Amino acid sequence: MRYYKVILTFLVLLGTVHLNARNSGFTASAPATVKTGQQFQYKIEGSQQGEVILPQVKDFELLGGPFTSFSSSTQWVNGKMTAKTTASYIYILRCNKPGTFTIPPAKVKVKKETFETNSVSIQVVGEQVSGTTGSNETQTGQQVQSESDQPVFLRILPSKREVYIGEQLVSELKVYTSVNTQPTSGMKEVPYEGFYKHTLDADQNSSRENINGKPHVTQVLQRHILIPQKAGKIVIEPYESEWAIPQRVSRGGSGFFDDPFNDPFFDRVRNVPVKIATKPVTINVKSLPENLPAGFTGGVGDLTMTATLNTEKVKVNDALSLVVKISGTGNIALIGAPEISFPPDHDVYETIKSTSISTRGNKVSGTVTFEYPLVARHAGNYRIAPVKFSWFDPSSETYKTIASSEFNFKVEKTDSIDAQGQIYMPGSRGEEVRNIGTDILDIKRSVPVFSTAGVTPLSGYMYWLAYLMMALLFILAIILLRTYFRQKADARLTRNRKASKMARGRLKIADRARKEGNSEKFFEETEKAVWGYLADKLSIEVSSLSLEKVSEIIKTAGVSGELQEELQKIIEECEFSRYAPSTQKADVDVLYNQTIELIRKLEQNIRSK
Amino acid sequence: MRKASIIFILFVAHSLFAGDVPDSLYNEAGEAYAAGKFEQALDLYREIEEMGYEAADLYYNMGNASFRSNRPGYAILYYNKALKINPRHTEARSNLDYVSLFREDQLENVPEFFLKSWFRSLFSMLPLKAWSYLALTFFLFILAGILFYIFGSHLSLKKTGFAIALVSILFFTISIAAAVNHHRKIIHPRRAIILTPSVVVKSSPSSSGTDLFILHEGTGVNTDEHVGEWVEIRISDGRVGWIPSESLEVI
Repeated sequence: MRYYKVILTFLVLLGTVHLNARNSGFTASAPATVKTGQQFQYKIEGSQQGEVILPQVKDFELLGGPFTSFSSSTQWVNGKMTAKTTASYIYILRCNKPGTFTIPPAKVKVKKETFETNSVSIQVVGEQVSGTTGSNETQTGQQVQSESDQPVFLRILPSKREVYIGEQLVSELKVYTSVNTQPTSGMKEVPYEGFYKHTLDADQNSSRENINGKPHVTQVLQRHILIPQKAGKIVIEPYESEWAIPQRVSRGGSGFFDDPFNDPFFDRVRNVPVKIATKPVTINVKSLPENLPAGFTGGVGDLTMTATLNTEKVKVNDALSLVVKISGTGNIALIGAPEISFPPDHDVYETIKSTSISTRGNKVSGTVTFEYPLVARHAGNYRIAPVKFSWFDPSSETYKTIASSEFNFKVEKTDSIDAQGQIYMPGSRGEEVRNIGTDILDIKRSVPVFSTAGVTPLSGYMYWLAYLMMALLFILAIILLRTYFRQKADARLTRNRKASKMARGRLKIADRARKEGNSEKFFEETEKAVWGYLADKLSIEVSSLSLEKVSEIIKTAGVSGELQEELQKIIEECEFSRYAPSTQKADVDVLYNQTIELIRKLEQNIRSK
Repeated sequence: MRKASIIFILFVAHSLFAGDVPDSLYNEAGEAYAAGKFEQALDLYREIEEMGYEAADLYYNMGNASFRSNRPGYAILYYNKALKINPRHTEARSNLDYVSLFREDQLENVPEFFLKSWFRSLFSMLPLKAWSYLALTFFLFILAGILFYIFGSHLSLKKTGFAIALVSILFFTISIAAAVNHHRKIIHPRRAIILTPSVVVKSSPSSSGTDLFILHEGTGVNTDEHVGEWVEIRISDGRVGWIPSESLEVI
C-alpha cells in the first residue's frame, strides 16, 4: 500500500515537471473591462475534467470558487458516436484599484498531464458610483455559491438596498428553476414587515436566465412597491414556500442490471414537496436629514402642491373650504395634512383627507387632497397665510418647499335665520373672549413717583401735627365766635334798653319844633322817633323797616291789635301831615301826647313779653 | 447772603440729581427687560430698591422680571409688595393670580369671621396715603359740623351741622383705622413668602425638632415670633411651625 502511494507521488511529480505546453482546449475568459470593486467571473472551460491551479494574482481578490460544472452530450450521427464533455470552473474575483491587469495562464491538471490556459487581460476602470449594485452582486454571488446547484431557489430582489425613510423601492420575489416545478399551494404574500407595501402585478411570462452558466427559467412571482416606515437596518426575514420538485428515483437494487439500465430515461420521476426559503435581505433605511423644514409632514418623493380657497366672499355662518392638493410620485398615502394658520374666531372643522393612488412604471404616484372646512362667525376681511408644504426629495437628497399665495376672503353680514329659527347676532351665543395663550401682563414703563421705603404719613409727626393744628384752630374759632356773638347780643341789649330814652330825646326835639310852630319839622321828628324806637327795640336796621314788617314782628311779640292800630294811625298821620296843607294837618298837641303814650305802652308790652 | 444762596442751589441740585438716578435706573431696567435680559433688569430694579425707594409699579416690574427669570417665589413676593403699596394695582393682582397657578402648595383657607374679611376688603380698597388724607379731611368735617351745630343761627343749620359731624365721625373712624392698619403692616410686617424651593417646617426652633410638613416656594405665611435664626410661621389652614428665617422674606 505504501509502495503504491510512493509510485503515485512520483507520477504526480513527473507530470508536474514535464509540463505539457500544448493547448488542450482549456480557455480562460473574463470581462474585458470591470469597475473597481465590482465582482466578476473568471471562467476556465475545457473538454476534460481536471484540477485547476490558479496562478498568483495579487492584484485581484479571490472571493469564491471554483464553482465547477460539467455537462456531457452524446450524439449519434450516421452510426458514429460523438461524445462531448464540457467542464467549467468559475472563480469570483474582484479588483479594488483601477488599471490594466493580466491574469497569467492557469494550469489545469488532467490525470498526468498539465495544461495551460491563455492569459487574460482585464481593464479595471473608475470609481464605482453606486454601492448598491455591488452589494447586490455580493448577495448574488453568495447565492450562487449555495443555490446554483439547487434545482429551485427563490430570491427577494430589492431595487435598492439603501433608501431614505419614505423613499420608494421595488422588491421582487423571483423563482429560479432548472426543473419543471410549481408551488404545492397558493403562495402567501411576502410580509415585508416595517414597510408600507403596495402590490404590483407580477410577470405572467417566464424568462430564461443563465445562472452560473446553468440555464434557469425565472419568473417574478410577486412585485411590491415598498416604503420604509422607520430608520435603521430592516431585515426582510426569510420567506418560505413549498414547491413540488421532481426527483428521479432509481429502480432500486444494485444488481447486475444496474449498469445497462442506469439511465435517466428509465428512472421513475416523483414530485417531492420541498420547502424553499429565501435568504434574509437587509435594507439600510437612512433617516431624513436633521434640518426639518417647517411645513414638512412626512412627504418623500417628487411632489408638488396646490392650494385653493373655494370662494372669496361668504356670509356669516356660511362654510368655506380650503383645499390643498398634493400630487406626484412618492409616499402619497403617508403624507400628513399641512398645518394652516387660519384666522382666529372661525370654526375650523376636521380636515377631510382623500387619496387616490395609482402605480405606473413601478412607482406609486397619485394625489392626496386635504379639505379644511371652516365656518365664518363674524363679518370682516380675513387673510389666510400662504400654505407651505415641504417634502424630501431623495434624488437630490434635499428638502423642497413650495408655498401657495395668500388667501383673502370677505365675510359679509347676514340677517338670515339660522337653524334654530333665531337671528344670529354676533355675541348672541354668549361666546367668551377665548384666551389663545396666557401670560403675565407686561411691565410698567412710565417712571412712577417713588416714595421712601418704610415711611408712611402716619410715621411722621407732620400728620399728627395737622390734627393738632386743626383742633387748636377749632378751639380758637369757638372762642372767637362766642365772643363775637356775645358782643353782638350785648349791643342789641343796650340798644333795647336805650330805646325809650332815645325816643324821648327825639320827641324833645319835636316838642321844641312844636313850640316854635314848625309843624313840618315836628311831624318829621315824631316819625323818626317812632321808627327809631321800633328799630332799637326790635333790633332791626332802620333802612329795612316797613310798617308790614313791624306789625308782623310785634304781633309775634304779643302786642295787642289795638296798640298796633294806634301805631299805624300815628305813623300814617305823621306822613300825611308832613306834606299836607296846614288846614288838614292833625292837631300837633294831640299827636305829641298820643306818641308819648304809644311809646310808653309799647315799652311796657314788649318788655313784659 | 451769597453764601446762603449757593448752599441753597447746591441743595436743590442735589435733590434733583437724587431724583434723577432711580428714574434712569428704572428706564434702563425697562430696556433690559424688553431685550429679554430679565436677570439684569431685576438687578437694576433691586438697585433702586436698595437706594430706599419704593413704588407699586417698581415692585410690579420686579415681580415680572422675577417670573421671567424663573423665580416664581420672588415674583409672588414682589407682586404682594406692589399690592401692599397700592391694593388697587390691577395688573399686579392679575399677575399674582396667574403666577400663583405655578405655586406648588395650594392651601385651603380657614373660613374667617365675615366682619374680618369684610373689613379687610374695605381696608384694601385704597392705599395708605389715601386713607390717611381721607381721615384728615373727615376730621375737618367733624369740626366744621360741630361749629355749625354750636353757632348755627337757625335750627336747620344746627341740624345739618350735627348730621355732618355724625357721618364724618363714622368715616373718620374707618379711615383712620384703615390707615393705622396699613401703617402697622408696613412698620411691623408679618406676612412673608417662602423663597427657597422647599423648606421643612419644624415643631421647635431648632434643627432637631420634629419635621411637621414641607412648604414650597411662593407660599404665603404669617410670621409670629423670632428666636435666633428661626421664625414661627402660621399657614392659612391654621398649622403652625418653625422654619429658618433665611427661607422666607417679609412682604
